[in-house]
Amino acid sequence: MGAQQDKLQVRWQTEAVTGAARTLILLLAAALTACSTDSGRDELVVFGAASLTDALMMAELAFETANPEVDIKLNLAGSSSLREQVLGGARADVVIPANLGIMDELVERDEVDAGQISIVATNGLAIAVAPGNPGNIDSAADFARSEPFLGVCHPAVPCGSLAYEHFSARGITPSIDTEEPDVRALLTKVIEGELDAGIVYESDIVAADGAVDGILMDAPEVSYPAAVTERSSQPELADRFIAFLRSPDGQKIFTDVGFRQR
Amino acid sequence: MSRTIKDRPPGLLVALAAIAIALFGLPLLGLVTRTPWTELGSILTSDVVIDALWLSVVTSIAAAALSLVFGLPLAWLLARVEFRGRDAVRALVTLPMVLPPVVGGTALLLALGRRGVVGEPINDATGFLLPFSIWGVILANTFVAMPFLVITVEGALRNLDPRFETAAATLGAGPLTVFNRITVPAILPALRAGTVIAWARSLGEFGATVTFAGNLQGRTQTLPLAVFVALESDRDTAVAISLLMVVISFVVLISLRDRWWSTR
Repeated sequence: MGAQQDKLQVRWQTEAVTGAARTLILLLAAALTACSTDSGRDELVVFGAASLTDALMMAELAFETANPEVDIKLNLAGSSSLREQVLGGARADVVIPANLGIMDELVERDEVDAGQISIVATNGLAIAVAPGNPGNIDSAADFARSEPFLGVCHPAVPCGSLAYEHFSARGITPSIDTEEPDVRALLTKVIEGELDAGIVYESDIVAADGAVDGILMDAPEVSYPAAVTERSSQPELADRFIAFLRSPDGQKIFTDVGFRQR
Repeated sequence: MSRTIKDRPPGLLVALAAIAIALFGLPLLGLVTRTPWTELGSILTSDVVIDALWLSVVTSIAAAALSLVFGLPLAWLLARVEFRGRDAVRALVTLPMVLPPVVGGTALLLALGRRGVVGEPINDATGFLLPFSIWGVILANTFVAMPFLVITVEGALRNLDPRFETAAATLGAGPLTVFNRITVPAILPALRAGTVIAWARSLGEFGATVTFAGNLQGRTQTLPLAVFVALESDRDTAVAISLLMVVISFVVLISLRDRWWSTR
């Protein structure tokens, strides 16, 4: 009885495994067919930092209008996510993270040639103040006061580490109520008046379109480096796109959405 | 041999079930293979993790308790009392299950935040504020977790033969006595299951919490929030905390299953 049952058990298992394999193959085949319907245009995959969202979407439109044979695909995410994706083997032709450190790591792992890197835009920190300035915030020094509701980005993301660097450089011991995981989440809480102030990028103040007041900060600049990847199948096209970003037309897009010129 | 096998189980069903198991098992395998075993001890005893663990335990238990206290009467209302708009109320209760938690958190902020429709008058009158506090975390957790309890318990109440309750009432028991002595004992397994599911959902809550309560170590940063920010900078810590959460959930769910769910 036992042996017979064992045999039966084994048969179930093999049946199950071949059945599963068959189903998987069918599913994969279906997925591949779905993917192969492309536009016939030259595809350029651009990985960009989330803070570049508005600028890169406008740049995509402008570049595609001038070059109808090109189809730019944007992948916008936090800079560390972009790094993980590229190191994980994702296909990218151009990478534009929000800080040089991330680009250096890509150079170390031979994903990017150090000689290929050029700066396409810069940005600065600014204090976003809730409408009406309920917390009476005038400068970063006010972040040491405990009664207003104050936010920064988490130190794990660039806007947070830059804010804390600024605090320690100025000898400010901040009294913080929340460390938001990304800059747009922080900005939203200031716009809604849940926070009296938060430290964001200058470009975010412009993106808020009057919903917050901005106070410029005398903090170091942030650079956005762009580079063609080593594995790019379209290096010439990728070069042309970066050149466009650095051209007067491209730079106008960046300054329009609140970045500083490169 | 107590078990007898009449028929071979259909290969297709087994194959699909196997894929389903792989879907849940493979991520766990990925987590285990990437776990930094040698540094695990020092990571899990760091300030960040201890603070987040403590906050997670306290807030998830509080949210499960609140879900029980308010969710049981709500489930009873939906199952036993006929009233206009009952379907609308039921849809309203399940809303947090359909909404992306971040949207739920935003809605909570607009209602109960410092400038919220209800939050502002309360703050003006009492100075009490939910966002950026542990109360905000508990509220956000309860918001996403309670529907699971309500749905589980309402289903059990609907399956419960109302004649027991009617019989008790004819024997002279008041409505509250009937509820306490007849209804609750009869649906106890569902009540336990619902509470545990609400607790588990609350333990893993991220979106509504970070949106409504913010993220600050020792005040509002629960384990899922700690994982999320660690993913940005420190992969080892993120994996270690994730593993900790998996272990906590497994231990609790399995031990409770043996005791609560097996015989029914």
